[in-house]
Amino acid sequence: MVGYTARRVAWVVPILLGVATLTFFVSRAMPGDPAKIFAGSQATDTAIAAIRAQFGFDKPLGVQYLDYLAGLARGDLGTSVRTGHGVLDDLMGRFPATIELILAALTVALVIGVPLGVAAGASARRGAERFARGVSTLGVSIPEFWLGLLLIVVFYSSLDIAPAPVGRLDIGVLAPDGVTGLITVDALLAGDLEVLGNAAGHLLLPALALGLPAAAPIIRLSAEATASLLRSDHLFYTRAIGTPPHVVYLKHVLRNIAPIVTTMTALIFGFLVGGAVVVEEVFAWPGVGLYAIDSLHYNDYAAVQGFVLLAAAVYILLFLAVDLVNTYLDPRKRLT
Amino acid sequence: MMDSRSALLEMRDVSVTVRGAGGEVPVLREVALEVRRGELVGVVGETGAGKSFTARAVLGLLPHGARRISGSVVFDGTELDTPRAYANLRGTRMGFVPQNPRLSLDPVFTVGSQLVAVIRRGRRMSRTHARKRGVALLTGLGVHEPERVMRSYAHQLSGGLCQRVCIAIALANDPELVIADEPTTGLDVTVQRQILDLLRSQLVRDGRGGLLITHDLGVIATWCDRVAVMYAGRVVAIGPVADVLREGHPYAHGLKGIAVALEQGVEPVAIPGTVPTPGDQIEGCAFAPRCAVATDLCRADDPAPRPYGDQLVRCHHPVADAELPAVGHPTRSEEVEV
Repeated sequence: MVGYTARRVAWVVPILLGVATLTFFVSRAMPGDPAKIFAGSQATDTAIAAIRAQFGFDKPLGVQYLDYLAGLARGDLGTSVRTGHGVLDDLMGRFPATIELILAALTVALVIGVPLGVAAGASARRGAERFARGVSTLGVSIPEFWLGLLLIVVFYSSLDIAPAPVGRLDIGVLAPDGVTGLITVDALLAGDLEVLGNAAGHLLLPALALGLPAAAPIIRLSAEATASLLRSDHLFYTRAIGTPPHVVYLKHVLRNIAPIVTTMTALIFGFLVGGAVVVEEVFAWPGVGLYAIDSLHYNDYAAVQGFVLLAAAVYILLFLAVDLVNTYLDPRKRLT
Repeated sequence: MMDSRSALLEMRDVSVTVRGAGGEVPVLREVALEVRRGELVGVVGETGAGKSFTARAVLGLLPHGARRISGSVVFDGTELDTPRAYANLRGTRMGFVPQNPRLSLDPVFTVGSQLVAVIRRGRRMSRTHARKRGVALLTGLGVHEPERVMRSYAHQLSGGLCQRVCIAIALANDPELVIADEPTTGLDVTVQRQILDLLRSQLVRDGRGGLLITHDLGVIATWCDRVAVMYAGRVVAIGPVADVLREGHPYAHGLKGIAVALEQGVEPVAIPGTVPTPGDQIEGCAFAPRCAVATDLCRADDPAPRPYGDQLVRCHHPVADAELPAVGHPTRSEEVEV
């Protein structure tokens, strides 16, 4: 088990190196010169050349690449042309907002997806299966930005029950000091219910915009997992020895599909990171997704590369974690 | 009150259909049998004869798409007419021993936790207490290191050991009836004998009743008191094992011939023809096309059950012992060298 984990961890470095290399060259291939964009339309050639020199864009590509790798090895993701800050600092400052959004969206997706999926899978009626299929097709085809705008139009513009879709808190409300950086959690830990309510209100619509489409594949997969589970010998036996239906579903079915749901959650996490970029833009949510989009507009190489690298690292670590969790959830996978 | 010979379980003309491509297909046709206290009743038949549907009908757990269209199941004088009536019996007054115990125990829970859950459903007691009782049950069933077994998952135990756990689960709440569906399929012969001896001793000792579903006539001959022979969804003969195997329904006799031949290691004389599949149009007696003594009457009219000695047979021309070619009797399986 330890050896297996070590081997998996050892793979993290080459994978990240590959991701870094790919994003480095792809971002260089994008049209547009970050120095020109940064300097503005009125800038002189001398000024632009100075900026190029400052960020090393005047060096040969190969040298820039090696410089970048050397920086990575030191934990330096480079400097953002746009903000003038270190990319790592920029990302870390915004990362909690994105994590909060993704975790909330994931909660939405799981709370809606798993019960509906299990119910659809358990229902003998053919209609239930069609429902699961239909909902998942619908969910996959709804773009998050459209759903986000729809939610804003309905709940903010028309009904006026949601806060303005700008940021994580109303203007004037201060985020609590906290260790997690997730405002809802920090407010809860600080016992500040007013801030908690405010933050939750701001979080709700973007979490729905991101989480509802993600519920669709969860419904579909947990319906299939439940249906095939109910045909299994052990679920029949569980019922035959008198296990009451609520225990059959809440204990045996949920526990048996847990490894599938966990794996699915990791897959969907990647989907959510992509979706978060769009949703953060729609709700002016100050996370790494918004940062990535803004950086992209500026051709801010280091910032874009940093974002992709961060997303890849999160993804890899997540899959590692899922493997470990599944080993715990499914005793048959435990190597003894 | 406790009449040891009274019927514990009665299936009265139970018919079950399954929704198929071409409409409702009958899988059980007027199945009638009873299990009395203190006896083990075997249900034997070829694949597709309806044995497993019989077990599931008694448990009230028919698969999706199957439903009982007529008849009734009566347990200890009470008709089981609602899902709740069955649910109240399963795991308490009605125990179940599965085919394929390693696949039947839930793979993600320890076998001990499953045993404890059943014990605690039967009577309110603490987890610790229930665990002790579980260990005692396993010990009583000849399981060594019961504590270790309790902590294990099904995939870590042998099939025979899993089946002992399943028997412990079946007996945990002192059920009056135990239904065993092919309990020894896939176990080797020595283990099979141990499991069936165990099952029989546990059932008969306390005046419980048992329904043993099997395709193995040797198992029936050795461990059962009475037997119901199924063919094409019907019980075609039911009665004391020795009687049914000696004379009466030609199909039972044919089965016995095969069983004896297999045990003696000689090539069995197969019953000509094939078993009808559910959904086949059946005119008259379902066995008539394969029957050596069938007449035009058999091909036209499906025989109703009629008494024949101590048996009930669905046959127009039950054959007496003397008329049948000698095939010998199945030997007790202790004497069989496999």
